[in-house]
Amino acid sequence: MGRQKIFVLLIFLFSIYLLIVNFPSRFEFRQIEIPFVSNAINLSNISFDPERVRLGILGFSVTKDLTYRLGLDLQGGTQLTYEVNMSEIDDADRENAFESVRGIIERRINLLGVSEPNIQTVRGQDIYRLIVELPGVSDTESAVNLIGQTAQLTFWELDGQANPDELATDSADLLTQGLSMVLGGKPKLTDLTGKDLNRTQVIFDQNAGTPQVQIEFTSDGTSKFAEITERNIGKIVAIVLDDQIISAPVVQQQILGGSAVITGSSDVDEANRLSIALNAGALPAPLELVAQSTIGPSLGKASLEKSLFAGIVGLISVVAFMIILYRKEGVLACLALGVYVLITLFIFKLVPVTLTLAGIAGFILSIGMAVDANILIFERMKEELRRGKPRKIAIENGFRRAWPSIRDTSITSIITTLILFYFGSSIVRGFALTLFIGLIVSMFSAITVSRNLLLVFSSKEKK
Amino acid sequence: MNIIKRRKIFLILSGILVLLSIIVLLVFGLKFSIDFKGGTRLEVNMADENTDTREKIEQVYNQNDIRVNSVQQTELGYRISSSAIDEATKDQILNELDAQEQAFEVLGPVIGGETRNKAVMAVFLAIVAITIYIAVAFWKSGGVISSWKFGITAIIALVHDVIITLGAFSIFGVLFGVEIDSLFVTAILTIIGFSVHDTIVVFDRIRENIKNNVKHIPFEQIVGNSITETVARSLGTSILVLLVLFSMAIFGGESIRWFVIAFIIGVVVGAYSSIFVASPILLEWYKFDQNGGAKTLRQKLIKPKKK
Repeated sequence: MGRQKIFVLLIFLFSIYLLIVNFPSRFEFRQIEIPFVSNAINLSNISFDPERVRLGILGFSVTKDLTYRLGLDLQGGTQLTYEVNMSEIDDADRENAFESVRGIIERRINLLGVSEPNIQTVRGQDIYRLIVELPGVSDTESAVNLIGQTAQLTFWELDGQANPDELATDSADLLTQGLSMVLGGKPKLTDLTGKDLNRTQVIFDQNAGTPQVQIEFTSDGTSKFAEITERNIGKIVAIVLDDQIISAPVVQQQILGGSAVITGSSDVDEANRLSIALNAGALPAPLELVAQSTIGPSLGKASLEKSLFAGIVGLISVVAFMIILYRKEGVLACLALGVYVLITLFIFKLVPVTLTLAGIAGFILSIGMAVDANILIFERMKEELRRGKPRKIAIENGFRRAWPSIRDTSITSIITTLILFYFGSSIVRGFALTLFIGLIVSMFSAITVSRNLLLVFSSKEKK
Repeated sequence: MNIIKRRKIFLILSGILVLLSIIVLLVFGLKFSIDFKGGTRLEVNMADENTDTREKIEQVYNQNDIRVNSVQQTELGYRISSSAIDEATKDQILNELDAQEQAFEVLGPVIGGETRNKAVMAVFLAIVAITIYIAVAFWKSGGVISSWKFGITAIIALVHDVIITLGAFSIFGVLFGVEIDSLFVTAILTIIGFSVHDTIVVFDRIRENIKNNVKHIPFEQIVGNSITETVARSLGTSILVLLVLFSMAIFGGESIRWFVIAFIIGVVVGAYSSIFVASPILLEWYKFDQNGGAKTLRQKLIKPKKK
């Protein structure tokens, strides 16, 4: 008996904690520090900020950020799906190339300064895909341009050995045509490429104020660059990014310093993108955009508000119904339900689970199913009482006989969530995950919380 | 008891519903969204709206040579599903409609085909997995009925639910322009889980009553009693879940409204099927076996010929 009472008490206290953690915006707790000083050494120190839990013991500290993570459809943002074109790469190198692509894209996104981006890889038979999620980014075009660009930087000079009159007019390649026009003859690829770059940054022209990209070469690059500039004094050297000529300056003198400036960016954003792309490195294989999705922030906000409202209305109607139908036990069931909701929300924060609209629907649905477990127990209990069993035994029997049903139904639903998780897109997965967590917690809550609540509160009645 | 006595009526009713659904599906088919076909979904916020807005939208799209799949009203404006649009055309359309972009989604056809395959696989896998689980869970149900019968009957009830839901959405597609997207597939899969949920509770009861069958009540009565015993709980849960679902359908975000409606239909049909379809079928099967089963059927068919 005492064991159950203690359990209920613990659950009660834990629930208060959870209540605060789950709804932080209202409850702002100041730091409660409990320093344990012994010989002026802090042995442990716990600070309590509802959204951040920090435990420090003997110099080690662990911080956990406990805010809710919202999916793109609730926050607003962009999701881009890229397919990596591996046709030019040997089978043996493909895995490496894929990893490399992923790393470079990640660097580019980080340099863009997107908060909490998410990159997923999708691998299948001959399928190499990246799904990039950028919360809060609504300028899709910019993002697509930056991420999808192969960003191969090359330097071209005039072929000194070719016949000066020989123009590559029969070449179908637009780039070669453009180069020959700019250089005034047959273009020749130098050995200087983007790989020889150390770093780049955006600077502003002192006179005109226009944005430029300043590049610094590695020591290898510096010597190559010195040779090229020496060879081409008075002539044009073309700088090409992928298949576009981005700059074609006349070489004034030999440059030994290993730095140069690329002009020609139309605005700061463009210069920025170029700088980021060069800094992150060129992609070993080109990317193709196969799907994109953008959700504006106001749509996201509207969806979130509506879902929360619906959830609350649903919860209230469930509570009302339970109390009307099952009276006293109904109240207890609602308490158990309350604990269930708090625990589940806490787990969502802890994992953390990214909540999408469908995910919230899944959670609300699981509330309905959690209630179902309770009803099963009650109906059994009522049956036992009808057969004249004493209250406590009726409760125990109720649980024992309802458990197989609860277990079976939960497991079949869990099977479907696992399948959904394996097959679904990220939105579907959000639903599967929340439903899965909800089902597991409801199984636990039915056996432990509901049961103990009932036992504790019904024994009091006997007196 | 009344349910069992009148089971023929309910089975016939179910049969008609399933048949109707199949016919509807064959005639009208399902309206697939861009998730399965590839294309573009554009959600816009219009500066001024009136009754001609839909026509205006379709007009502008046609002028730009884009085929429109559907136009739906949302809380912030309109959602237009069409064949693929690139950025330039999109800007043009937004300009001509004097609208602001709320959401924009483009899906290539390759992904669409993949989604379709995945969806079919998922449903198939779910059905198989559940049948196996039920057969295993009901292994020790005691000689009267083999556990496989439980499993397969549950699946029949489940398929019945799925077909009717699909049929309903085929009609919705025609009447309201509702599209089948990947969320709908999610709903179907969850309905599968849920419908089985209900059916299992009844079967659990039947199994239990078989075990405790001291008075040697005939099987027909066992089934009847089981149903009566579980009806209260079945109704209770279903109403509770429906309460929650209705509040979501009414107050919830527009983008999941049809998703929720699919659930509502699934839950209602699922509850109906576990009581009025699954148990009667189980009973009929049992009786069929009692009367000799497949062997007798074959003999009856062969005998007249031998004359």
